Amino acid sequence: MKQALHIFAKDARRFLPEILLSLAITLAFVKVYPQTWGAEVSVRLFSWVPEALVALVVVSWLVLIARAMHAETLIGDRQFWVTRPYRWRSLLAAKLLFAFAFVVLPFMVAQCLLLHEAKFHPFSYIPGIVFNTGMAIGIMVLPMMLLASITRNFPKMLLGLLLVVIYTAGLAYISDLMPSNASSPIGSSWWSFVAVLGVMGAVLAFQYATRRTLLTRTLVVAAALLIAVMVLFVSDDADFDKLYAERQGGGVKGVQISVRPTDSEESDGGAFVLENSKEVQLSVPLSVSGIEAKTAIKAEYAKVSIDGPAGQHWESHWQGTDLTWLPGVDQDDVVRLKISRKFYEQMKAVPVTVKLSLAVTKLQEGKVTSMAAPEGEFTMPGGNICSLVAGRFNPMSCRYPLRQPPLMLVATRLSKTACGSAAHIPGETAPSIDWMGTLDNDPAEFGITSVWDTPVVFLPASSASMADSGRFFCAGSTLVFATYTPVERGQTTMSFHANGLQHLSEKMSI
Amino acid sequence: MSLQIETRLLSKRYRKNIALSDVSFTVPAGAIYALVGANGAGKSTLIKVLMNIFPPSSGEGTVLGTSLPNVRGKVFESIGYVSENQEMPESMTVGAFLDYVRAFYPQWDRHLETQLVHQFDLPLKRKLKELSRGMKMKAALASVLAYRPALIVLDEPFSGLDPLVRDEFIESLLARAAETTIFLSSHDLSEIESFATHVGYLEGGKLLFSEEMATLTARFREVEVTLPEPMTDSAAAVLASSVPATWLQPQVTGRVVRFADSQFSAESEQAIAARFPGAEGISITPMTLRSIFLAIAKAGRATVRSGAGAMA
Repeated sequence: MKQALHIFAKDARRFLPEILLSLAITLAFVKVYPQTWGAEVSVRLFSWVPEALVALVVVSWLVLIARAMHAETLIGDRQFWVTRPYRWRSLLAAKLLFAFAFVVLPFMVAQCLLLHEAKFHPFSYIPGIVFNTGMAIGIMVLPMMLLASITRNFPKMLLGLLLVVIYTAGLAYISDLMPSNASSPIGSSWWSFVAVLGVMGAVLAFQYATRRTLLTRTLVVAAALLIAVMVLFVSDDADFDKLYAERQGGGVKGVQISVRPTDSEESDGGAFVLENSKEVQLSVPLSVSGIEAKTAIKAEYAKVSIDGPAGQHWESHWQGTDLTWLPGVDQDDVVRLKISRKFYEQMKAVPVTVKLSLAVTKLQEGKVTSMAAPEGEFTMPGGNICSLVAGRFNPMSCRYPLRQPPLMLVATRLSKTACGSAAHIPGETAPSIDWMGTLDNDPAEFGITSVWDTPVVFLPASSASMADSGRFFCAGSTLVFATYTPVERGQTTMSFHANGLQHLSEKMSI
Repeated sequence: MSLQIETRLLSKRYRKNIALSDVSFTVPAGAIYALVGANGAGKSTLIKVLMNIFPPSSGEGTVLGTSLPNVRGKVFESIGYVSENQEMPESMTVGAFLDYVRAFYPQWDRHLETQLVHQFDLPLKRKLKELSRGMKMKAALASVLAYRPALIVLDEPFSGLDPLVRDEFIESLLARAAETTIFLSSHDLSEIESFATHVGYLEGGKLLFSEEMATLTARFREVEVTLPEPMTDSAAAVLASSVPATWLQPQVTGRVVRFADSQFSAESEQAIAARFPGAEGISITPMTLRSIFLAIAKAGRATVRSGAGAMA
């Protein structure tokens, strides 16, 4: 330990300018980033500055870690330190201590300062701070250290980083080209994250213990290939099916979800081509009924399997959707799915059998709180802070400590006429709602910031046309917050025939 | 006498290139062992294998009784290594560098450090990157001598140094020779001749011999035989093909035959006289280390490996 502290002290002295620069960037980030919060954002002219500071913070970490690690580079045969009485454990401990002291600790302090700035008490969110810090270590700090340990200097580390970026982009691209690959949205389970962290830690320790760089690089490449194979080919559908059990009907008791017949005249015969041009977007119209009072149904994921007349088959992986239905009259909605463009072109004009699966969650209404919304900042139920600029379209923005709050429905009545204007008619309002929050239970969402700020976008509560909906939020209007918790999950599958996939495409302009 | 370094059939290959081939030798405690050979002979590779900077491809060895794979960490508290092309922490001042390395050695002698700084005239406040090559080498040597290592390993320490610095360097080494073992590589034969007690000769990755300097210089003699009449070309050719393998580089110039006897002994003179019965004169003179190595290098004979005097 004494030796580790000695090496750490040397690094701290030697890289003091870099450390001070990194701390200054972090401080600037803490000072500037809060200006992006709220409905009325003050940073307009230099709106890119806060995001640029986020990137700079990460770059400063990269530089600090590279400088410290390369001070005793593990590669080469000329370094003075390899013939000095360095213990590899002490050397590794010194570098870990450096990363902790000048990357991890400032990051934790920055999170606390941001929480304080956002009027949240940091000590109330210690688990979230620790969780977010752990994610930052696993996603950024440890990979940076591993990369530095198998490169000789900063330019070579940047080259390695470029390879990592190419690998990640390539993996994402291939994964996108393989819509039938087995990875599901809930596939990134914690055990696999912890396993990857463990492997990275073990490889880092191996490199420090042996300095066998070629072998370590081979291990890193092998691990990357293994991850790629797991992402692309190993199915975690079993986990998915366990969470969302197959159920006839609506996926959850009493709810009926069915494919709504469409008028083929609606279609123009073309499909919405997605950005990568390898995929198109299909739109399947749905009809939902039977939702009980004080409940809501959320369709979180969907997948589609299509069979052509000559035995052609194509199947997508689970894709995220964001459809939520409330009780009331029967609801019409559309689920949108990406499919292979090549397959679409083959099947667009021939009869096909489509099997659509939805993973749905039944939500039970919980505590309902009403309040008259004041102008400016106010605390919403649950302690999160919202800011409101009355009279504006999309007037509200809320900020959350470390993660979004548990899922809740926000309802109000928006005025159809501008508040305070001569033409304002006080009674002319329309019900509007927005969902905010998440069903995720993690104590934090990973981010350089510890405070998340999202706008509340009120939409008409019913299927009334936008022309009849309200547009303006007037100060003093009542806001109703209703929490929703998941009580049942299920999976429903429905099959239908279509006279060509073009009838499942919708007119869309890009 | 304990052995500070011992290797058995040590080899190092880089893919198809053989840098070291079956190198076996020993270095006794208290020796000043000079590893010599031309550039590219494998001297630095052998030292780096001994320092566990590279793992050997095959073979084994010990340094200070520790097997090569374990030569790391604490073992380096007793080894001082200085190399001509070592990468130092250039942004440190000499003083900061000495302060830094001091903490790694429990036996560090502050008084000796002060003495060395004074002796080498080291500028404590200047950064290492601002120092001349000679100054940098002296700083490195001071950082090694100050903890009185049991073994000092120097890789081409005199390369590129001016004579004054070289003398200072050698003087400081010799001043500690009584308490340590020195293993150094060099291609500067005239320098090492004055103080080396043992010598090993590497050529093309092979250790041609390894023995005490005294026995080496004792067994090599330059022989000049003056014949009564000039030797004909055919007779010279017969002579060249029939001389003993231990006679290196036989040359005939008119009446004079010259060669280097690599196994000279008391009986050698009679054997030479018997080989040249009508010789008018036989001159036998000791050889310098430089002329010994030149003779070996030019002869290119691996067969000159000594039997009697070799330490391996």
